[in-house]
Amino acid sequence: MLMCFKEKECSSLAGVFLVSMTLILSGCASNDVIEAEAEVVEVEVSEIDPYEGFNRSMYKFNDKLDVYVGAPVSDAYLWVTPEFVQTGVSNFFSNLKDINVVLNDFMQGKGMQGAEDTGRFAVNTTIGLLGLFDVATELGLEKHDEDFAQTLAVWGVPQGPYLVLPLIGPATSRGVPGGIFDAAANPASYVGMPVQLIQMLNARANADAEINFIEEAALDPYVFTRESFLQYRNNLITDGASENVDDLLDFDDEFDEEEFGENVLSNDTVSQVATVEVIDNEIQDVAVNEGDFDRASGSFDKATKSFDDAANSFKIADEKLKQIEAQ
Amino acid sequence: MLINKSLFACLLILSFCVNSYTVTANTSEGVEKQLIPVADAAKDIVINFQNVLLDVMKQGTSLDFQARSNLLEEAILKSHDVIKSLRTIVGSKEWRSFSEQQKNQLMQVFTKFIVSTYASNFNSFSDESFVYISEHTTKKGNIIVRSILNIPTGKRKKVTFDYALKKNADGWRIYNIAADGVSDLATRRSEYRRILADPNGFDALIAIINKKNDNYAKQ
Repeated sequence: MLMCFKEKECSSLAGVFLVSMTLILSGCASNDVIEAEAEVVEVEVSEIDPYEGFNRSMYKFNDKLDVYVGAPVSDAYLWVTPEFVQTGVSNFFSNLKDINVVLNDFMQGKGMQGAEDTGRFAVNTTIGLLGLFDVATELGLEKHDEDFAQTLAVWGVPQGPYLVLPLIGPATSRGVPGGIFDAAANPASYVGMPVQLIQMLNARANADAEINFIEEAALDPYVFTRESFLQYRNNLITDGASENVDDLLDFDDEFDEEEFGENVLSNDTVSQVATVEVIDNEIQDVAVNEGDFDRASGSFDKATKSFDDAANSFKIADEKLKQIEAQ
Repeated sequence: MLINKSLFACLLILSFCVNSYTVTANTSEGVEKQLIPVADAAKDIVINFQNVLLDVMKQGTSLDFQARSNLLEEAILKSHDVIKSLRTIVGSKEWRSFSEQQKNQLMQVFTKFIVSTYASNFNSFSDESFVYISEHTTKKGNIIVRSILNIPTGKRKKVTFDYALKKNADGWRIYNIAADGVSDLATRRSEYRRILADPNGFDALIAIINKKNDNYAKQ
């Protein structure tokens, strides 16, 4: 699958579409802007980010928009809306997205996962009251993250350059047709403006913790966002396969040879460690099976508890509204 | 159930054999002074560190930022190879070009930055737990320990943490962490090298990190 990822021959009709999309998008950034930026920064153009000048200004635009519109609206939403409503809204849109997850499961040839996610959608739409409650997760049907951009990657469409899109944020050129397909497969796209606004608000509110973290911890928020976005997407595409993790984690350090002349582990120990890992995995599987019953019975307790929480947060919301009135 | 139990027994015996074999192999080579299996030493470092994290989170409300930092600094220095991380982030060529004083200065603010990031983000507890998943050895002979952080009340229910450990003179030490496939060193490397590419890069880098540290301390 990854072999194909790098070969340009694999690109199919979707690839042609993608190239034309890229041309349109790159056309937006006039060459003058890019060159002017590059002269100031004086850093060689990175292979993955050839439109850095354009992307940086788009990033700035999105950031300013978020500071003046996104963040205040999202803060107000998070402050005034009871937590159970927030969770309900989030679950509702997440459930609609599961339709798209199922489609992409099957398009990537993940039959088992596709069947599971179909079950997830069925359970949450019925017992979960149109998706307001995520009953399926409580029952052990985990949420999966699949989208059409990942499917394109599995099919061998190359990633293409990194792009920052207005309002939408980080993407790659592969993500553009991906995003269009995902939107087309999402019922929320067809119901009209208010629902879409709530969907955007929900997405912004859900990303609140991450956005705050970047603000605090990043030395260069643009580079930080780009690097973590590309790595995170890659992790989703490969479903966290360990070879990819190895490549990302196992850095070369030229000092190693000076300080530690010999390899610490011999080949024998390597194979032993591998055996231990297999055993640990099996033990975990057994433990998971035994835990299933406890989890299922526990989920009913949790459901009743969430009703209590709901009643409680109603009270808090009421107090907050009174506070606003008093001001 | 019967199958499960017999499977358990087999696995226990098998794992015991593997462990004892590892111990004898090590003593004969004289690599390890203590009789600890190589694999478990790396895993223990990670688990002990995670336990400190959970402890600090549980005391999040009673400890202030400085108190949390003190506890975490001790735990990080015991389990991480901070200098190796930093060297990899800035690149060996740049690192060699620094004076001893610059190296010490950067090391000092960088350590404080790592500790502050932890102290600021791990400040409350709502039933989070770490679950050990697996470990394996990479082609270069380092060990990667995979674990999952479960966040029952969070919007994201779980985050996969991969810890990369390398053996130095003190034993296995963490030098890189990836959360859901986002590698800490890779991300920092892009940021730091970008700043260092500037003619006044070193001073700029120190200034930015100091500013971040001040912001954390104000919380």
